[in-house]
Amino acid sequence: MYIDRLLILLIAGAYLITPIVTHWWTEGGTSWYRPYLIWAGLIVTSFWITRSRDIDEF
Amino acid sequence: MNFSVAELSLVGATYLLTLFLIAYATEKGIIPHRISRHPSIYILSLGVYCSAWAVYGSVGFAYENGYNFLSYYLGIAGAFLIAPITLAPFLRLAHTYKLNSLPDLFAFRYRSKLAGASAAFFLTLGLIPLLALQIQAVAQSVSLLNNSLNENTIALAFCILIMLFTSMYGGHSKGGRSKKHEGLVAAIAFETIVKVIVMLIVGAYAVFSVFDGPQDLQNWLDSNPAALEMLYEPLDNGPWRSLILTFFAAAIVMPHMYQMTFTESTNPRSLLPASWGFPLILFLIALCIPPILWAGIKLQTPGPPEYYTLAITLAGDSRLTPLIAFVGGLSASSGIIIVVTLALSEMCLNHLAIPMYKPSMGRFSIGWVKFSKRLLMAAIILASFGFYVALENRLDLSQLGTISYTATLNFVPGILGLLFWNKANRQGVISGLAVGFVLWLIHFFWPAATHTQASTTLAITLADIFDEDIVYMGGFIVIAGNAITFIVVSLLTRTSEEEQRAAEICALDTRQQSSQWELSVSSASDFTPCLTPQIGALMAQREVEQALSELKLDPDEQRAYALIRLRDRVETNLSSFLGPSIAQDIMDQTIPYKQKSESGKSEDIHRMESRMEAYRHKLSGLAAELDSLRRFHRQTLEDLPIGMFSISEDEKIQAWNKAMEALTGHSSEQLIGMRINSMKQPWKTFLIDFIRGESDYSPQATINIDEKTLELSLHKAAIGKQNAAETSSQVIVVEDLTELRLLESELTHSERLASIGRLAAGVAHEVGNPVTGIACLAQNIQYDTENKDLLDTADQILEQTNRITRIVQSLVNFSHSGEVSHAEHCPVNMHECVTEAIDLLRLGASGKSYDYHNDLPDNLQVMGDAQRLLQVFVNLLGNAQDASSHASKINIYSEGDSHSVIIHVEDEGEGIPDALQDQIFEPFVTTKDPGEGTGLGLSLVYSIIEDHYGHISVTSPVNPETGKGNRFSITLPASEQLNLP
Repeated sequence: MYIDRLLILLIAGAYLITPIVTHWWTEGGTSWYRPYLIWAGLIVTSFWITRSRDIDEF
Repeated sequence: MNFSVAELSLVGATYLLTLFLIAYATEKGIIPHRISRHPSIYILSLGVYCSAWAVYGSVGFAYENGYNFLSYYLGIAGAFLIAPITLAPFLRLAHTYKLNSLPDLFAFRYRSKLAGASAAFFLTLGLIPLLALQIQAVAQSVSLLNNSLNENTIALAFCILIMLFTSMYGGHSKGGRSKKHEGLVAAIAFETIVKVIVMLIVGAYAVFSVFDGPQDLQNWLDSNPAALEMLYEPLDNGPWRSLILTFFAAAIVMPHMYQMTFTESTNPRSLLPASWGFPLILFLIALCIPPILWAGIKLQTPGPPEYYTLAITLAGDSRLTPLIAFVGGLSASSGIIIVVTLALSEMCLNHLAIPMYKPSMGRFSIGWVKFSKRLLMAAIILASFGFYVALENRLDLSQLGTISYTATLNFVPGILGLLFWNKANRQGVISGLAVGFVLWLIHFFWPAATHTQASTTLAITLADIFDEDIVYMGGFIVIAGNAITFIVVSLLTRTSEEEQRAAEICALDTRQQSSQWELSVSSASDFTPCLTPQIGALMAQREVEQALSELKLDPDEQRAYALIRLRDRVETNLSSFLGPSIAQDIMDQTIPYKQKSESGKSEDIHRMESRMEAYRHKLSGLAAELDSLRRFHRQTLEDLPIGMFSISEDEKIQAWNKAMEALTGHSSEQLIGMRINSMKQPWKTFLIDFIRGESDYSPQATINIDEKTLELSLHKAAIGKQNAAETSSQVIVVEDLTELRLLESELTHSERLASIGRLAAGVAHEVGNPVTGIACLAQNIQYDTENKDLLDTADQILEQTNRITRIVQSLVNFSHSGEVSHAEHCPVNMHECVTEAIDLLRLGASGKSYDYHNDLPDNLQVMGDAQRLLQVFVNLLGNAQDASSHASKINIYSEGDSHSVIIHVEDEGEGIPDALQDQIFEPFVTTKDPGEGTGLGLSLVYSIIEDHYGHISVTSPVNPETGKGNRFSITLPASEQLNLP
């Protein structure tokens, strides 16, 4: 079975990073907007990546 | 605050009418395509995901489950953030094979009508609670605005309204090849804008009207830590990860998402901006949920928290804000109902109605399709309404949503198998779905419909063991039961050949595609007769012609890979018209695949290479290096200056290099994959004779092409042949020797001339001495006698010896013709040269009576040896004299440019016979009577002109009408001092 290398990287990355992120989020106290900051960060990253991506791949 | 029925009806009807007008304007082209097909419209249309759960249900879910509410948004946002990995493979499949729904995908991959039908049935059943959720949201929100109305009446009115509206969209479906609903996409995009704006308005209302701005909200949170704690607490123990995965899968398994993401996509590249655009839409909506929740708590709003979005606005003074919030909820509910109903009706039509009803081809009218679809739409909406009524409002929105989302999780094992597991088969997927749905009915659907607890012994036991919520354990049992059945049954049963092939197409790993398949037909022309019994002659012909024109293939196409492409295209086109199940059936019955015989497996080199070329940018490391090596070897063969081609065991052409293209005029694109016997004559016979012949080498083969003879040398060798008995591919090398043979012939000619020269020199030397002796003796006789008869005899001897001497002198001159040094060349005035030659000829007995016209310019010069050029003109003009009658004209004139000079010597004598014209410059060839010419004159001229880097040709007759006149044309390189008139 073949799995995309990027997918493996993402799964491994998510596995390592999720506890840290979740911990930071739940320790937020009154900073209720913390999950939204992470989310916004992901959107900006995705925007930045897709801008430079070779669109012919699709 | 209470709103009248008229107010609410007006708002609702106006909103739905606006939607219809947008759809209509888009369909009619009033809204330009550059707008309606803009990627942003596609991204906005994905907002159909945000149903009443997003607008109302999430607030209630946040109230109950804290930050777990974010999973609804983050799950699907995650799927889109990594869209190139998660969604692109489905988009590729959906676009290439026109798979318009999840059942299409299942029917295509698992090659089973039953798999498609099961998927369509279970999906419809599973989505009923989600549709009921929307109906409940609209009914309850209206009753919040007007508490005198009966909720069931509102729900029914809403259902009727939405049924009419949806059937209008269904009516717009062309029923033909195109399954795109541009109008619907535009309308849903508009709905998303409305939803986002409404949520931002209500969120801003909560922050700035209920609270006095963000600071006040923060202060309130500081003073009410319980409000924050209720968000954080469920995160620790709640089913956070399971929910994320459930909503992650929704991107593919939810029919409205499949419809918008894949089926309605006009440009696959729009998926890239959607990977951040759609999460942004979700982000904006989700951002408003906590402030709305806290505003509701602060205001101690009565009623269920899930309607805080509407209820908090009712606490204010404005009558507009509640209506705006109501439109937001209406928009969310109506959008998803329209798209889900449309998608479900299409899949029910294609996978349930048509296969069960089995209408003949003639009854497949667009009217029948539209009517059936409308009927199905109505049935789905009414079933949802029935489920809503049966529920009696006992379940909140998020509970209803959970039932549907759990049902759609049943498709995840089948989808994972589709992408990653080639052994997955139809028996596995159908039994997995059946088991999963039975478990779902037991744990979710039935308890909801009959007002009982979802508490099987197994669920209770597992919930106790893992200390988890019983609903969560129910979901786990459903998915685990499905997955285990799917895997076990797939492993225990046989995967059919058609499934193996479909698995190769669907597999993410293109390296697994072994293309071990070929068709039962051998030519594109066989397609129409094969299809005719199933779909009729007219339709068969139309479909095949359309597929051929789309693929730009020849009607007599024979290449295996091209035929496979043609079959796939015909199936795809039929699928868009009749649905994939019927299309597959037709194709499997008429033009089935068969596994390649062992002997035919080596032939698809070209297909293999095409796939590697397409996959190339994904290779790295050793694989990329191997690919570079492959390309290098291929390029070497391509650029080889000698013709090379290879054929498979069954004589199909596998490689055809550029030299072969130049030699034969057949391009590699035309030939690769074709059998060698499909080539045009004379190459066909020529190559087949050699390929099938016993000899591996043919050094002197000739072939006539357009009246030109090519001389070729051919070699062949078997590729990887282990023993003599084995058949294998062959490589054939074809070398064009035509020019080499021409050079060899010229060399032979020169050699012959040289040997004649040597012979002539020898003969001259040997004959000269005795002739000189004879002449001396004859002269002695003249001095020694007065006898008249003897003197006459002596004169005759001298005359004959002189003649012999002249002949000998000619031979000597000829033999010395090639020994002149080019260093002696100097500018020669051609006018003077010709004049001198004329003067010399006039000294002869007959020379005076000819009319010479030396029209050469006075300053015409060429580089050369003056004496030898004089010899040329003496010979040419002498010949002209001999050929011409007395007093006739002999013209010498010239033409040329800065590079060359052409001097013509033209007479009016008898023409040279055609048969002799090619040999006229050969030694000892003459047109004169025997004894009058040696046949060396023109040969000498030829040699001298060649020595001067020139060229001589003859035109005879000059006047075709009279058949008279000869023109010798000498082309010489021009001297630097040349000055033409």
